[in-house]
Amino acid sequence: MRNVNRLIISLFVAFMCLPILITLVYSFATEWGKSIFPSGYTFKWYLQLYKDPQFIAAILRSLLLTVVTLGAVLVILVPSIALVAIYLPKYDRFFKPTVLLPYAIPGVVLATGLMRTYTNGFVPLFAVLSGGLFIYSLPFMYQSVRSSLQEIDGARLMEAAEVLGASKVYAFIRILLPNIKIGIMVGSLLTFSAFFGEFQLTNMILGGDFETIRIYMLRVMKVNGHLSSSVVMTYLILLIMVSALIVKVTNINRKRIIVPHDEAALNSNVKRSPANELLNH
Amino acid sequence: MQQHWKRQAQACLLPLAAVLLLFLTVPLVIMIRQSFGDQSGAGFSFANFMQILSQPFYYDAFRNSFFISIYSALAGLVLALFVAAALARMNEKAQERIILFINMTANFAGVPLAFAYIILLGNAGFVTLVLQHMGISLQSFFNLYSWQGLALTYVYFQVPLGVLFLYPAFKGMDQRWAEAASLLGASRFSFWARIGIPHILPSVLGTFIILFANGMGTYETAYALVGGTVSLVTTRIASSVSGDIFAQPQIGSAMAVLFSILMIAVLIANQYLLRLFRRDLK
Amino acid sequence: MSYLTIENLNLELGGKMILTDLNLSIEKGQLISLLGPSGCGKSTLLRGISGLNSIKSGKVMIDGQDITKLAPKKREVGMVFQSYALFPNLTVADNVAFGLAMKRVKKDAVNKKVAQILELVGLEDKAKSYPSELSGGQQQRVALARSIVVEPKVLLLDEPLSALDAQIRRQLRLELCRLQRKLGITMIFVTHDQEEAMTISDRIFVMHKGKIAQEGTPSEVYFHPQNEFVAGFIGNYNKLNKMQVEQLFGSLDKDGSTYVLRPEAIDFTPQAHAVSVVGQIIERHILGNVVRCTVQTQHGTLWVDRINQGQAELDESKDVTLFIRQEDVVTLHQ
Repeated sequence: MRNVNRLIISLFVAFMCLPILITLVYSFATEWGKSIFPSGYTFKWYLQLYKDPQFIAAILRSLLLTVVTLGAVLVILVPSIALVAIYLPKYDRFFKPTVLLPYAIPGVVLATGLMRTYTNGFVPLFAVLSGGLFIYSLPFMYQSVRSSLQEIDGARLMEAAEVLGASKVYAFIRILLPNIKIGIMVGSLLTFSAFFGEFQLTNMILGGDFETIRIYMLRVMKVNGHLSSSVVMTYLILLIMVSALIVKVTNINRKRIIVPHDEAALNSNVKRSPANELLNH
Repeated sequence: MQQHWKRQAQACLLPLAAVLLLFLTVPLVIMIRQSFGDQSGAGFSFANFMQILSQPFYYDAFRNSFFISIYSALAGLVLALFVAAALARMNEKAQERIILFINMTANFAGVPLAFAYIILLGNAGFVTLVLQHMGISLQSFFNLYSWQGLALTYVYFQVPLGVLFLYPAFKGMDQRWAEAASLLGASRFSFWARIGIPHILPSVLGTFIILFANGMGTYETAYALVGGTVSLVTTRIASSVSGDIFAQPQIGSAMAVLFSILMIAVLIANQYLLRLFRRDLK
Repeated sequence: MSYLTIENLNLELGGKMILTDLNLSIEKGQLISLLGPSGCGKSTLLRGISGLNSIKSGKVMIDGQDITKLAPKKREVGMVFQSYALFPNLTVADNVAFGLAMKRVKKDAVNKKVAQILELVGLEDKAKSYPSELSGGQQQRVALARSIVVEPKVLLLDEPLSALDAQIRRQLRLELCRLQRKLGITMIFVTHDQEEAMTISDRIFVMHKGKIAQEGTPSEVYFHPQNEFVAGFIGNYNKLNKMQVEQLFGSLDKDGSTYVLRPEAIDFTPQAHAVSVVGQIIERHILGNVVRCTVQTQHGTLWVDRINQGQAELDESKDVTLFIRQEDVVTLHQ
């Protein structure tokens, strides 16, 4: 039984790794397509790529879009989520359905709406794109901030601070924020990955006018596959580093959480996994 | 005092409300309005919807997306069931690592994925060449740049997504349930028939719906792999509203409206069925 | 003059009346318990006193000052939460210092006070630890230290011991009592455990459906439960109806229709002014230091509690004669 499980998992990992490995090999191949194996190996694609000012520009554009939008998310969305969770629970019913938002209103639909509304040039298209991305960050942020607040019992902490003489604003900054910092960071890193690799909205709303990393990737793919592979690998390594950061942050979190005393609390932790919440919602 | 504070708290939500209004509500309302209008967005008729439902150029997009999504969701679900069940029985450390691995591979979907499949199964792909060497022509029964290739490519991101959704259900199966059942005289078969499967079933159904919805909404992978050669809802809508020569934004809006209604209907049906299955999940 | 008084308090939560026309007054320096089943409104009353839930109508006065409309931070009440609500990002010392910092107490004075109070609760060596590194009992002490260090006029405790193991709970309950006596703090202690309430309180307020069902010292409440709810919640009384009582005592000089009789008030040996009734022991249970016998008599079954000394005459199916005094029969009001 154990061995069967291990076999299934190994096959699964192999299935998931195969396309990545083949891309890796391709990015080092001088030529591949006439024979079964590449005719030689080289670093030249990577060197060519890193010298390409358009590649650097694409990365910078992606970063700009990500940082601006994430900034807006942190300033506008995160405090609102905390406020609703603690003081205005009746508005929670507006937040809860957002976990299904990407499925109910697929990116192409929102992009259509945004284009029909803002093509008159009245609002800069960069802002429109950023606004669209903001909408799709709702599920990530809501879930990570929300579960972080539940873990520390944010409402109780605010009350405790108030009874001890703190103002609401002081308690929010000094007690609440430091304790949900980890949730905010995890949510931000997830959002970062999503924004940085965004394609659909960018392609529909701005297209070639604003060549982000994914759009650059597609353009290069049609010209030179080897170069494109090296873009993909560079991009993946960057995002793996972001993932590693998420893991590190989550591990810090575990040490700090005050252990719940009863089993009911433990069980509710299991039930609160994002996937379950999405399905049972 | 309390009322006063409540009003202040509500005022703090205004910026978020403004963003939602500007970038979600207003665009959707305008899009819905234009779906009933003519080329310039004026007038009111169902002509756009009639056109979509009567011309194969449009309704084929829905049909293709529907079948590709159903096939890829089913294949993804079956494979994910095996993986999730196996994963839930691994040790904690291994489970954490695999989940992390799955989250990382999510970044690979889209352009990189389409490209990797081209290197693997395209006209000069690795597998194609290997088969050619063995005297088998892959092209004779499989074409990557068709709906077959799309469905196969979709499976790559459907399986891990399915695992993420199914895994908690398998993990939530308490070992003690099986013990309690066997002490009460249940065989392994009757345990699964009466407890195990009923416990998993709502998650399986919900996961299938999510995978289906995910397939329907996929744009990037399809755009990168087949461009416009296979008509899909997402790519058809995008090309209708993007400003090239064939732009017909009012039809694109109408398709987008139909698409969203379809997705919302599927999600609601799922909630309803869930409730039928499991009345304990209020 | 009472120290804390509550007059005609009405409190509504989410459109539901939780507390209705509640009146209560407490003397300075007393430890009182709010005792009742879950959902009776006892925690809500605490939150009303602390200002965390706003009051619909009525008045809350502490030390002659009307605090009904004050914000929680201005009320000078302390509160220990059921889940402790320790700040996970602050050390034990910083948690305890938090309230003092809010009062803008000078830094060295804060340090001195924090050290004192941590010594008082026996956690002087944990000052630099984080709450997550402490056991449940230690976390509880930190919560207590944090709320008494600011010297609140009233300390409110919301089931502060309910998350702990039985043994630690009993130990902490005694420590809490000693601390309260030593510092003379006025405390309101919420609990659903009648044994806990009896052990620690100067006075008990039994709550039922948003009102005070009975108030008194632990003895008063135990010996004279006033109504059926209190009797049912507090102890294992024998419940008798009017007919049973009349059959036992002949004529009756008490009015009412329902009566209770403490099981330990019934004797197996003749007593002055007692009536006798014969019966048979049909069940016997050892509760440790007490033996509880169920005796079948011609007027119904009665529970009788005796100190457990291994008496052979209390075995099952033995015939016994019970002696009951009329003064032990307590009349219940509606």
